[in-house]
Amino acid sequence: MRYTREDGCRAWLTYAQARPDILCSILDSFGTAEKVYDQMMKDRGKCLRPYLPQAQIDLLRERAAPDAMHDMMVVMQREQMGVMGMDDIHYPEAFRQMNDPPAILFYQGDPDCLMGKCISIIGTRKASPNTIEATRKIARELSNSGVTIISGLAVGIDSAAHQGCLEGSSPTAGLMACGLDVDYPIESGPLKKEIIKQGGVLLSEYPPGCPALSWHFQFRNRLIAALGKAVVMMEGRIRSGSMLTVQHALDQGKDVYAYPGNIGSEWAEGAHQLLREGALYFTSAQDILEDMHWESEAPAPTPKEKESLPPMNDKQRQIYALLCHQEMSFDELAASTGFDAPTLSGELTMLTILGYVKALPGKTFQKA
Amino acid sequence: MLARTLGYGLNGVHGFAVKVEVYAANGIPALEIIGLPDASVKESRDRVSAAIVNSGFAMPIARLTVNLAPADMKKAGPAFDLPIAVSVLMASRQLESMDLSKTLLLGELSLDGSLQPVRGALPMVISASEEGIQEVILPEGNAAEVACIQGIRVYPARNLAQVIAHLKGSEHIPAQVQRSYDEILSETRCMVDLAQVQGQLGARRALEVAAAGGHNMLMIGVPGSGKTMLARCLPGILPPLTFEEALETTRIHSIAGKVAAGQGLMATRPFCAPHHSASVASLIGGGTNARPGEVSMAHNGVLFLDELPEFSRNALEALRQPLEDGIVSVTRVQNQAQYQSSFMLVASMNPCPCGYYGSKQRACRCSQHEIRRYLDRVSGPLLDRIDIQIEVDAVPVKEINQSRPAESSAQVAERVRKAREVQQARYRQDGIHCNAQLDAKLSKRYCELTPEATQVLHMAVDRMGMSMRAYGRVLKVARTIADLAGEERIATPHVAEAIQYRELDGKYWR
Repeated sequence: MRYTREDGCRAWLTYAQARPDILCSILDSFGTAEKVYDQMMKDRGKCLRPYLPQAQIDLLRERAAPDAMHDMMVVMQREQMGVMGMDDIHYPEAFRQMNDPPAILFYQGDPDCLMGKCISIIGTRKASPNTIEATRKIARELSNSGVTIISGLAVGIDSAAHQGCLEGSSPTAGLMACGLDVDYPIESGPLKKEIIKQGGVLLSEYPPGCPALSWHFQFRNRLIAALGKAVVMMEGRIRSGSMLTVQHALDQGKDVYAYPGNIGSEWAEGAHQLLREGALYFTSAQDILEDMHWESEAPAPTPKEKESLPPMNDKQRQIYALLCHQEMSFDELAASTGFDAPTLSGELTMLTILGYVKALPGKTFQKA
Repeated sequence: MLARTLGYGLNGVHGFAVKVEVYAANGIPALEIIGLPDASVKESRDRVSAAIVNSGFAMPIARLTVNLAPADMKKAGPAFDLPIAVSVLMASRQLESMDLSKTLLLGELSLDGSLQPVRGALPMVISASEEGIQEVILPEGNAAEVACIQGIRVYPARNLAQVIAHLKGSEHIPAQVQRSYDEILSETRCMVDLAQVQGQLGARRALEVAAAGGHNMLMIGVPGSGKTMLARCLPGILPPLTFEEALETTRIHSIAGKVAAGQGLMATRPFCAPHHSASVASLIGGGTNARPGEVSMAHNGVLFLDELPEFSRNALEALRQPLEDGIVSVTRVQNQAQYQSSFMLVASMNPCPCGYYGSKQRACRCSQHEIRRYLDRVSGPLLDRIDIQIEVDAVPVKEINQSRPAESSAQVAERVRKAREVQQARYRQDGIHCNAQLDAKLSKRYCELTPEATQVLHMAVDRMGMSMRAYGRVLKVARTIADLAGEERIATPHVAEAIQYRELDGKYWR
C-alpha cells in the first residue's frame, strides 16, 4: 500500500483522541491534515488551542516527532491499513449523511463492499445458544441474497453475525472500537483475517495501537447504526449497549428490527420492549428482504435441501415427528417413544448425521 | 546380655526386615536407639519403658542400646515398639532367651501396655510371608486387614502382657483363622445403587459403557443434575476386585493409614473424590516420606474429580502420567517410591461458571467469553484421555415422582462382567485388560467395522466436524458397545451410539 504525506498526517491527527465533531471542525478550518501538521510544527501547537485541551495538544506534539511518525507508518504498512478522509472516493456514502461523521477513517480490506445492500446486526455478548444459532442462520441467508452484514466483532451475537455472513456468499464489515491492529476481544483475531479474506472490510476511527477504551464503544455503535439500511436487534437487556445502538439508529432515521426471543428470558427483554414500541417484526431473512424491496438472489434453499435428504426408517420418523412440535430432551424422547437408551442414542446420531436433527447444549434435541 | 527380635519397616509398598537388637550393659541406666530412627521411633523409648512397667515387668537398671539393623535404612513409625519391648525383656532375662528370627512382631505400645494398630501392616505382612516368616504377632486392630494372607500364622494380641505370656508358653493366643477372599467378597455391599437413580437414561447407559470398557468419563451438566450420584454408582457396577487387585489396593491404603481398625481386605473398588482445592502432592503423592496420593488410593477403582475446571492447572496436568502409565513415581529428597495408580477417571463439571448454560429451567448469566475461559481450564491433552463425554440434564420433579422401577446395579454389573470377560479373553496376548487401553495399532486389529458402519463413521467425520483423534476414541467406545451386545464385529448401531458420547466436542470445545 502506498501512502501520501496527507495520509500520514491524517493518521497522526487521530492520536489527539478528539470527538468526531471537533476533528471535523479542525479539518474544516485548516483545509487538510497536512496543513495542521505543518502549522503545529511551526507554532508548537498554539494554533490548536481553540479546539483541543493542552494535554491532547502535547500528545500530538509527542507523536509528531519523525521517529514516532515513521514507526506509525511502518505499522500501517505491515497491517495493510488504509486511511481516508471524507473526500476520499472510497469513503462510505452512509457516513456522509450523518450529523457527526468520522472525519478520518482507518480501513483494512475492501471498503467498496459497503456500496451494496447493508444490514447491521447487533446484540449482547451473553447470548443464548438458540439466538446465536438464529443469528448465524439469518446472517447466512441475507449474505446469500447479496447483503453485506455490519457488526462489531464482539463475542456472542456479533461474531455469530459475521460468521453467518462468511458462511454465505457476501462480504461482511466489522467496526472496531480500537486500532485495527489490536485484537479486541482477543478471540476476534482469526475472525478478522477471515473477514478480510472474503473481501470484507474492517473500519475504525482509532489509530494503530490504540486500545479499546470504554467511551469508544458508543461512537463505534453510531457507525454500526449508520452503515446498515436497517438495524437488526437480536438479543439484549433493556439497559445495554445494543439498546444504545438502536437509539443511534432511530436518531439517524433507520428501520429497526427486533428478534422475538423467548418471553421470560431476561436477555430477550430489550427486543420485546422494542417490539412493543413499534420495532419491525421478523422471523426470517425473507421478511427483511421483502420489507427492503430487495430481491432475494438465491431462492430459499431450505425446502430443496430437505427433499434431497435420504429417507428415514420407522424409528427415526417417530423421533422426528415428536421433534417437529418442540425441542425435547433425551429422557423425554425416551419416555415418549419407549425406546431404550442404546437404540435412541443410535437413532439420534443417525438423524443428526443425516441432517434432520440438531443437538443443543443440555442434552436437548431440535428439528434442524 | 544380647537379645534379638524381628520387626518390619516400610519402603514404598514393600516391607523390609529389621533386626531389633538390644544390648544390656552395666552403666548409668539409659535406653539409646540407633540405626537411623526418626522422631517417632526415638519416642519409642518412653512408650516402651512405661508399657513395660505398667504390664507388671521391671525396667532393667542397665545401659540399654537398641540397634535397628540394617543401619543404613531410615526407619519410621511406632511399629517397632513391640519388638523393642520384647527384646528389652529378653535382654533383662525377664523372658527366657529364644529364637524369634521367624516371628514378626508389629505394634505400637500405649503407656498402659496395650497394643495400638499400625500403618502399613498389610504390605509388611505380605513381604514377611514372601520372605519365609512363619508367624506374626500384631495388634488386634490390624488382624482383619491381614486375614486373607495365606501361609503365615497370625496371632492378634491385645497387650504386651499377653504377648509375653504367649511367648513364654504359659497362655497361648489362638491363631486367627485365615479367611478366603471369596468369603469376604460375598459380604461386601456397595452403598449407592443404580436403582436409586431416577430417569437419566442416557447417562445410565453411558456409565454402563464406561464401566464395561474401562473408559474415562466426563459429565457436563447443570448443578443438581445428579452427576455425583451417578459417579458414586460406578464402583457398584464395575466387576469385583480380584484377589491380587484387592491386595494391591489395600496395600496402598494401608501405607497411607487409611485402613480402619477391624477393616479387612478391600473387596469393593475404591472411590476417591478429592476436593478441587487438592494440591499436586495430595493427588500424586508426596510428603517427606513419599506417601501415596489420591491417584494411588484410587488404584483399581474410581477417581472422581467434581468441578473439574476448579482444580488447579498443575494438579490436572500432573494426572496425565498416571492416566497414561498406571503408575506414579514419587520422588522426595529422603525417599523415592513407585505406586500403582491405574484408575478410571470420572470427572464432572458445569457447562459455564454460573452453571446454567443451555438449561431450560434457568437463564445463563455468563458471556461467551466467560464460558470459553471456563472451559479452556480443562486442557486438550487431558480431554484427549477421556473417551466418553456426556451431558447430564436435570430430571424434572414430576418425573422423579412417577418413579418407574429402575434397573439395579446388580443387573448392570452382570452385563459389564460379561463384556469384561470377552475383553480379557481377546487381549490375553496383548498385555492389556480392557478396550480403553487399546492403542492405535491394536484398535486397527480389533475394531473391525462392517462396511455400513464405516460409512456412518465417515459421514459423522464429514458432517459433524469430528477430529481424527475423536475418531479413534469413537472406535474404542464402539468396540465396548459391541462387546456389551455380545457381537464380534462392530455394526452401525454400535458406532451410532458411540458417536453420541462425543457430543460435547461440537457443542462446547469447538
